Amino acid sequence: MVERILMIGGSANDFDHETESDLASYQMVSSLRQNEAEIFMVDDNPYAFTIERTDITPILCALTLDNLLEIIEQHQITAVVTTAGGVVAMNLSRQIQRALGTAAPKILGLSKDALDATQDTTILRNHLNRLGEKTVAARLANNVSEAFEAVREINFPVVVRPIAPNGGLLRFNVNDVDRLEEAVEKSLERSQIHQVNIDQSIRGHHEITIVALRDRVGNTLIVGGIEDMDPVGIHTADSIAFTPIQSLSDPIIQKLRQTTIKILHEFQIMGMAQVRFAVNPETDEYVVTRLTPYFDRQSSLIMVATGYPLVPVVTNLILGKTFEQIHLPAKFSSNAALLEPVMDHVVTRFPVFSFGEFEANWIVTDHRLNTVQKSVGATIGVGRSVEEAIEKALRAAHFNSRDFSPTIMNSLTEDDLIERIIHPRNNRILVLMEALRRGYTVDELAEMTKIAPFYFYKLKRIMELEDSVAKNPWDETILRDAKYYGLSDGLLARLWNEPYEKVRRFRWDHNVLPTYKAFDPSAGEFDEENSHYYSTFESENETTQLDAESALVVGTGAFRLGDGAAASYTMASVASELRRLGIPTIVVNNNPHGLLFIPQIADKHYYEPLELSDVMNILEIEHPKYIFIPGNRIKLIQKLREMNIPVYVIAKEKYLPSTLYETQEKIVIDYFWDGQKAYPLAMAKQDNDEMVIDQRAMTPSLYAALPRPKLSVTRAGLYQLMVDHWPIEGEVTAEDLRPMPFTHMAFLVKITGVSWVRMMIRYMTGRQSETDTNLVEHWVDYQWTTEAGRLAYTHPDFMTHLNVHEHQIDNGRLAMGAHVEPLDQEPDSVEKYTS
Amino acid sequence: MTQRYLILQDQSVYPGEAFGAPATTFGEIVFNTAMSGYQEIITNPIYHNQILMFTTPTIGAAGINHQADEAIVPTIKGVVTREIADVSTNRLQRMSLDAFLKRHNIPGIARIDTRALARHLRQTGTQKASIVDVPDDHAFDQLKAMVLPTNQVAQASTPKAYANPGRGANVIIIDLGLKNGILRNLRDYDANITVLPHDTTLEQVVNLDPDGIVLSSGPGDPHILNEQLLRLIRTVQSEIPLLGIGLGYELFALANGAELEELTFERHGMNHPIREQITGNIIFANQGNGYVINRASLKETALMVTHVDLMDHSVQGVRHRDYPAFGVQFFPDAAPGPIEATDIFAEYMEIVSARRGGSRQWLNEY
Repeated sequence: MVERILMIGGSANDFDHETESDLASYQMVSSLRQNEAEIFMVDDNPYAFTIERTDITPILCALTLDNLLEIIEQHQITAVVTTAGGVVAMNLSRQIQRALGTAAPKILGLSKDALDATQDTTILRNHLNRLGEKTVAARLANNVSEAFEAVREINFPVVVRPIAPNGGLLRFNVNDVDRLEEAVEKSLERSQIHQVNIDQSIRGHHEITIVALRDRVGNTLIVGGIEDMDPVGIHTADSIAFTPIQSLSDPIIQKLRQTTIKILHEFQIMGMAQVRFAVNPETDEYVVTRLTPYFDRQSSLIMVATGYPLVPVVTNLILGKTFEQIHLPAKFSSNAALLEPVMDHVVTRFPVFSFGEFEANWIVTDHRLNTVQKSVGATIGVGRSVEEAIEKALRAAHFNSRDFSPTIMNSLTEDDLIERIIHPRNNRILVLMEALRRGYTVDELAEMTKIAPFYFYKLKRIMELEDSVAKNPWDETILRDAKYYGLSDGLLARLWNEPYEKVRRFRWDHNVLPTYKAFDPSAGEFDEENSHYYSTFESENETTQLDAESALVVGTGAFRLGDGAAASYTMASVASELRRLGIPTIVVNNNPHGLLFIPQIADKHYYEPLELSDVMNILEIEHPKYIFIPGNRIKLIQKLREMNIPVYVIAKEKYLPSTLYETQEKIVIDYFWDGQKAYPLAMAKQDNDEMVIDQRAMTPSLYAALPRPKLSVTRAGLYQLMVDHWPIEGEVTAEDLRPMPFTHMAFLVKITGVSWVRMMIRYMTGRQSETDTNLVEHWVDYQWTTEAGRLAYTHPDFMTHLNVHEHQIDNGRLAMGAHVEPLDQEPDSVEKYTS
Repeated sequence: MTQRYLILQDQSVYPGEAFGAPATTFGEIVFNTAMSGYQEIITNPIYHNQILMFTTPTIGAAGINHQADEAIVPTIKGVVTREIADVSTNRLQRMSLDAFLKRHNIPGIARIDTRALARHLRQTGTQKASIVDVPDDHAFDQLKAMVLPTNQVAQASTPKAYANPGRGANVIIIDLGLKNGILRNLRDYDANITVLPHDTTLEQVVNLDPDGIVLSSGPGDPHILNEQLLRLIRTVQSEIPLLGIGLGYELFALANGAELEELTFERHGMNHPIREQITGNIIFANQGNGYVINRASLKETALMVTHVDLMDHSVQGVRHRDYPAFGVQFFPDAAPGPIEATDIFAEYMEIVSARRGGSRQWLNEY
């Protein structure tokens, strides 16, 4: 029987997830299709990429239990995939199981216990106890005296938190008796059921995540391990992370491996699960803190870093195949699914924060990092040393952030510095380097921060290297050292106070050139066909020009305050369409959660920072015919143009305010510009927090009456006209049009069912078909897949995450929590459009 | 930093930076793809006289911790790495890897494009190498003239028998280049261990009335060991539970008529899937070998395949059809490497215990 599989999408991006669900879903569909499954995908994310695949049945609706139950019945769903949908999908799957009981479609790869344990720590704890594994000691208390009793059992320091809190998360770290009473009373007050939880404190322990796979018959393998540089007490997403594990010795790594395997057996996992550990560096003892049997940021990092075909393998495993039954694409060596990846490089992930952007808008946020996530994005740096990886991640993450300006570091007072060492903020790595520069010892800093001394030695090396670069301009030996450890031409130029081009020429003159290395899961043991590369400065270069007719797509890097998810969607659509057109496609990006890292959408991937020097190095190898760049890379575009390199800019308009300052509606008219003529596509109405597009509003008479301004550009594009009223007063000229924002492009595609991004690429490259020109010409007669739809924002919990009240924030800037849904009822807006 | 050179038999030159001892060194170069356990690997006597290259880019970050020693003294000829961590951040021991190597007069070379070197060795095969100050004709002449030693086992083995007492079964280890992991694992079963040198005679073995015999792993070409050891294996295997590991396993196979073939490049790492044939279970283990059993040659023997490497399909374990004797090509002692492989010792000790106290009639014949 052919399985009828329902895939639950990842929903809108929010603090706890970016596009990693979509990244996994897309690849998963490819593998499911190879196994002849019929796939239905449900999502409400306007920026979803996977749901636009043509080989699935897309269902655009709100992710509610009722909707899902209806879909299951209507489409006779036999199995549900939750593995790629993140927390939202896990919650919904659990609800489906509860609602339908034995009649529920099977959840592929997950036992009931595994599903439950992800959401209920007591279930996890019970299983771990049965396995004889240590967990964090915890007690419940209903009053102060019970709390004291609990602490007698588990000893200080402890963490006190209310059960079922009203309001945001609250955790009190309590080190002694004096503080306990107050913490318990405060927590009791905030608990809806007047009960508190007291955990043994594991602050300062090191956090390690092990990603493992298990097949139906119980074979297991470890895909990789991640070490957080920052200790427990700082949210994993806000911590700098490294893979492979850097500072632990083999015996403890093997113990974590063995425990991970035991846990996968215990929960009968079929597919992937990640086990999080907190390791006490003093004793090498550890506790298990979490089980995550689905794709998230950690598995994304491992997937990107190792080169292991993680998603194809997991997909086969959840379908019940054993490792030996998995047939991977021919480019992998046989049984590559079974080879535990080994790395001959280092990958680090840096969190990206948006505090600077908030402050530019006079919004004060709390910069101090703690157990609640504050970052909004991430970048990776890949190198052959920890130093090189750090340097590359740093310039990928903070290419224009004020918080990372060295002058701010110089001006910190001693007290401020100590305060920031103890209470880390977003720019902690620079604070730590500054502390080393001012003479703090490694041991002191390790004691103050609970960061492994290993990392301080690495930071010290970087700091010393930067100092010697600054002191020795145009010194060839130092240049070589600097490049070997990952310093960019841009940084050298800054440290030498010289123009970038001059530094670059100097480097060329001394034959200090980048070498690209493959992401190779066998560390050189097997000769595998490879298409993923990173740069370093060594002797052997493993890559050559892909094709003289190639296209290079430059990514958007980390998500920041803004339309990260939509930009990721747009650039992925661009690359995917170029490849579909048969143009050899190359992508470069550094966001481990970004959609450009989908292996299928390009012929070649570079995982690099996007500073000018990094992009130039790639251009010198690839000499692509086309370069596609998102419009916000202004400096890069300008430089490339100065060098007479033709660039195709995917214009990135400023955000679309969702909360307009006046309670006022705007009318939006979307256009497709084919290079000669503007074709109106749709009319949208926008007001507070939402936007509606409705085909029914576009009557023939309205269509005929829409202005068709003439642009001076000859390249195709998507544009927009925003007006306060219809009909428009006065004449509309080309100046009134603006490029269509990414968020709007994604929304328009979802509702109309036509990928206008792909259409634009076909026109841009002169590859439009007759069908395309017909569609554009006769668009007004074309029936949209969804007649009308609404895009709305639900506000993320800014209070908890950033200590900011949501009404201060225009979420149109953050573009988090966007949902799309079809509108059935006759909207009243038709009148409004035309009246 | 002093500049030094790694030179290979095929005339390639890799400039790098010196660490460890400043000596000039010669040896066969092999690479290991393990990401952890550099100290265990460096001290494993199977690398006796070899130059060891790590594909993991940095080694040395955990310093030296003597609980991780696999032998009292490391006997490798050199270490090649991209980078050596110049410090020890290990809380137990403050000795750095660099200091450790200096102390044992082992040179190292860093800042090598180890990925390029691994890819090169994969294609060209295992070859002779040297770490030198100047890569001139003289250095290459010396490298060319270098004769690889053939007595590694004699050098790596203990010259005298010694006891490692326990209260359990009486187990003999024949030391062909014993690594401590084997001792640790047998100690977990409280075995009363006697370690004998490689040139032990049958009589010496019989005199100890063992409940079990373990043939340890060790360095070098199994073919050059003398016939005495093979005869010993053939004599005792029918009566005394026998476990061969690495070189010991290769000898067990040779003693039973199997043939071995040399690999183009030696295989060192711990990430290959190994299938246990009887259960279909897949395990991972630390591996390090330059020879494998020729599978076709097993047809004429009483050996059956118990383990297979699923990447290269090589035989990784054999068992005697009639006798309580078996062996594995990989290292089941997990130092470094996955713990799941230690089940081999459990299986072995179960056989030893089951047969303990059985008839010793055959002993009287000797």
